[in-house]
Amino acid sequence: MSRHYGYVLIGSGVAAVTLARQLLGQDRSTSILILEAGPRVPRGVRRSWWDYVLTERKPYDFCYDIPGENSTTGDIKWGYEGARVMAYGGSTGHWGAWALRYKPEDFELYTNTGEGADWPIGYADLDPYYQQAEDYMSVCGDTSESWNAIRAHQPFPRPPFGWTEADGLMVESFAKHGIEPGFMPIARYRKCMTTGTCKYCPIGSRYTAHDVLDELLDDPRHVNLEVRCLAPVTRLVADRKAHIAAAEYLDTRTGDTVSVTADTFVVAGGTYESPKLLMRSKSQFWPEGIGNDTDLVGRHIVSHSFLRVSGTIPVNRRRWVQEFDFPTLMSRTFDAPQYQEDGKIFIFKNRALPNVDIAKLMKQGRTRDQIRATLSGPMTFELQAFYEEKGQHRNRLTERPGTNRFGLPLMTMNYLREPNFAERTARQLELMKPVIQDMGCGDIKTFVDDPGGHHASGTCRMGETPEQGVTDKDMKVFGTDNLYVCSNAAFPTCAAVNPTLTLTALTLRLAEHLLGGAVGQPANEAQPIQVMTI
Amino acid sequence: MSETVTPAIPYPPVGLPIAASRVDANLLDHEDDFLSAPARGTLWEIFVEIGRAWGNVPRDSAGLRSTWLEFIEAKTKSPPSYIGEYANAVSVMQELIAVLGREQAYHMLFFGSGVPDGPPVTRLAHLKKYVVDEFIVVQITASGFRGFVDSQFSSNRPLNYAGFIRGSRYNEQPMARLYDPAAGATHAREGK
Repeated sequence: MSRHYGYVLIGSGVAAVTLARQLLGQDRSTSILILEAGPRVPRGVRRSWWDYVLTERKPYDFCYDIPGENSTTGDIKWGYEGARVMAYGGSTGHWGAWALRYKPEDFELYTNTGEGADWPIGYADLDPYYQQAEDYMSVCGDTSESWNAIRAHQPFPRPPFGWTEADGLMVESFAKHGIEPGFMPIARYRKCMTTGTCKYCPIGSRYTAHDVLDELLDDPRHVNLEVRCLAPVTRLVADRKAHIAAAEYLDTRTGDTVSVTADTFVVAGGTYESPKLLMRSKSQFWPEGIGNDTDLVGRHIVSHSFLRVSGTIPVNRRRWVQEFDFPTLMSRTFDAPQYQEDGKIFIFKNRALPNVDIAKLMKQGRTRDQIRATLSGPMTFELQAFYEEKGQHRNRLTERPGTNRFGLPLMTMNYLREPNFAERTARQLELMKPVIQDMGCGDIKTFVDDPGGHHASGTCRMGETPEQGVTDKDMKVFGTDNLYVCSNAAFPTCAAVNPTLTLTALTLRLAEHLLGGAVGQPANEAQPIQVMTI
Repeated sequence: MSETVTPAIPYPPVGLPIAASRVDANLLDHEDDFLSAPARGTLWEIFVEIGRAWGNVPRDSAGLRSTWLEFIEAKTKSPPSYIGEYANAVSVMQELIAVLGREQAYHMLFFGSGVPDGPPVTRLAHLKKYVVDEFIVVQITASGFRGFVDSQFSSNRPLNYAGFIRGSRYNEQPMARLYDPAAGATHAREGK
């Protein structure tokens, strides 16, 4: 006989894990089932870390989308590859841990520009949860930066990493152009002791949902917490219009379809899987899929295009290389209301440049003097930016026939650029170019890269009404009483910065909402067992 | 170590039958499941000679031994095992030293082996790819790149390479050369 749960959480990334942590923090016996389509890839394994140092291959590389598996229509090639990790812990397994707040204007994009959408909540609604999220993830940063004036009273829990010597030229060039330099806020979690292997940290010093979930499972008080991996959810079952009764998943080890019931269901499958699950959960109550009566599920997908300006200095006497291999220099000067109409940009120095692969030169048999000469020769720097795009109704993710190796449906992305995209990005590149020029660089080059899945948002966006969005201000699917989408999918805009801190803040807010007693009481009949199937 | 570059020997090498013998490109198997002390000694010598050849360590590699031992442990105790590769390395190294002499053997191995890119199909190529090339990465990961930077730009400052892990007892030291606004970066660029 199948168990009944208080909560079924679909996905095991930062949203699901943070929500489970909060619910268990309130009541250790809360019954929670987390369903994850991917496998559990062990972390902190020394052999895996050494293999990563030697080859740059990560032990979870097989959990990425495979090139050619998914398709694109429209006028760009959507970037699927390397963008998400389909595994226990989700994409925090590979993220860079950049943890930035959205700004007040990001919640009022439509009001300010006539494009995109407004959020049904404002910055002030999220501010206290941002602070909780920064404490939880141990974010480092500098409160004296002007854009942090919105943090009325709250310090960062950790001091920032300093700018490296190789950042210095760009710091000084920023000053010449009235650009305020800042320190990149990073979710450190524990004390950082290493350099340059952040995508597989050997000591767990960067926040990952994987590590937090391990700790939740290791806590003997959490007797009703259960995680099932290799369990893609295939359908949500409504027994009446407003009530979701069950989730069906495929046990990919046995081929069996399993049904689980719960009081509350939270879809935390990211911007791709969350809308796909709603769309394919068709029934007499929801003939176009749950929450899709107004044909908005999967629409308004948005992400960041990547702007880059590079240049080369002729001589590098101090033999600078990027010694952290994570970014320390950034600015939010152009991430401000006056740039919102063209599309705000968040600028930062390329984390990987300047650089010379010294080990590669040694392997090639170059002598010490030859390597020293290479190190002190021409060296390339690059200023990069996330460009804020605005959600469009015509841009949509849809399913296509077939599933990937984890049992998740394949997809097609229809994505067309904003009508004046070229003019807008050209203006933003002109803001960036003088920085590289005044560093003494020649051979200036500019690039505009296509958007992709790294920061994709918006496929189940929040709105004031079902005509504006799929979910309400609490991320509850319109027309249902017990179904939530806790994901970047619920974001009405993607701002100009990374989404994870905002998702974490929204999750903390959702936890408070659920614990307020409206829905989601722990099931009385839950049996005290703890299982992790990997 | 001299900066003279040794011309690459013919590949596959002539007069070195063990080194030139053809083998599968995949990791080599071995019947043993442990690394003998003499084999470990030969491998350590290769590691030390890398440090000497490029001068990336101030004096010798003794301070890197614990890191190297941990690396060897990971490579021999977790799958896929490198026991077969390490046994092959010992055999080839013994032949190189016997035929070429110690100094010339290492010089050839590091600067003129002639091993082409691509899958390793000789015992010499296996030694180069799976032992020398990997030990090079361990050397520079554990020691940093101070040896490649002029002392006036590096004295008493960290020059860590990707993968470096700081010891807990020194955790108040910075991990990278940090920007000093008072010194200024523009002057630094110009070497002043």
